[in-house]
Amino acid sequence: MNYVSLAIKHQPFKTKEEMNQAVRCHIVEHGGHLSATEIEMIHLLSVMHVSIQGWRILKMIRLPI
Amino acid sequence: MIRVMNKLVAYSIITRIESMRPQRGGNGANLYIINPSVTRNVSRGKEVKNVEVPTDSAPEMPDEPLSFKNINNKEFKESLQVEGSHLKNSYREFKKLVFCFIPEKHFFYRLYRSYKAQIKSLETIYAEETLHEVGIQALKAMFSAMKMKDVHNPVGYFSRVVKQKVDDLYFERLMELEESVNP
Repeated sequence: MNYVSLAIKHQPFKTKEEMNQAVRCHIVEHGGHLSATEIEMIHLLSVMHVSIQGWRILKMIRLPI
Repeated sequence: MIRVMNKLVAYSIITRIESMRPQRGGNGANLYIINPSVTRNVSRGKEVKNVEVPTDSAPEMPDEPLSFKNINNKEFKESLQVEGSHLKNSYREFKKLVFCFIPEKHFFYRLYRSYKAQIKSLETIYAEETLHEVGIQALKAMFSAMKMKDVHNPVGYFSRVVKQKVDDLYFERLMELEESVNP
């Protein structure tokens, strides 16, 4: 399976700024229900998304469990 | 980590797309998508409308928290499903059937590997459903044979049945071609 083309097919944002905006909105919206770890995880994911084409990098790094 | 991700999915902050490996079967890596925030866009749109028509005296609708939760229903998930998701069902059905009789992972892997090896070159020729049916029928034949007699090498027996079934498919196709040429 070609993971990169799959990721490109489903990408919801055109630019990095749009994504950052959405992340901020999510944190504002759900911030009350989320713990620090969960907020950290959203940031981590967004960083990964940017370095992605990064998807592959995400796969290689393996998030720490 | 998994719990955190599950919570984020529950809050519709991210969407998880599971994938299966097309060649060997089994779970592939998950794809995580950060959902765009719907609330902000909608509320902005409303503000703009209110500015344009200040005399509008219609009662305001209660501000429902719009989020991807509303969109994140089954249909939406289905639309996001990975191409070739039938593989998922096929693999699961296969696994379910094997685990009914012999719940051993390695035995299942050996069976599935031999099945995949045989149908690999035929995937472009026959429909997925046909090949899947062949596999299921071969499995059933193997298990019924195992009940009747002592099968020394079940995987070998299974692969031989698959081979026979595939040959049958080939002959059927030949017969059809002959009939179409000489009606």
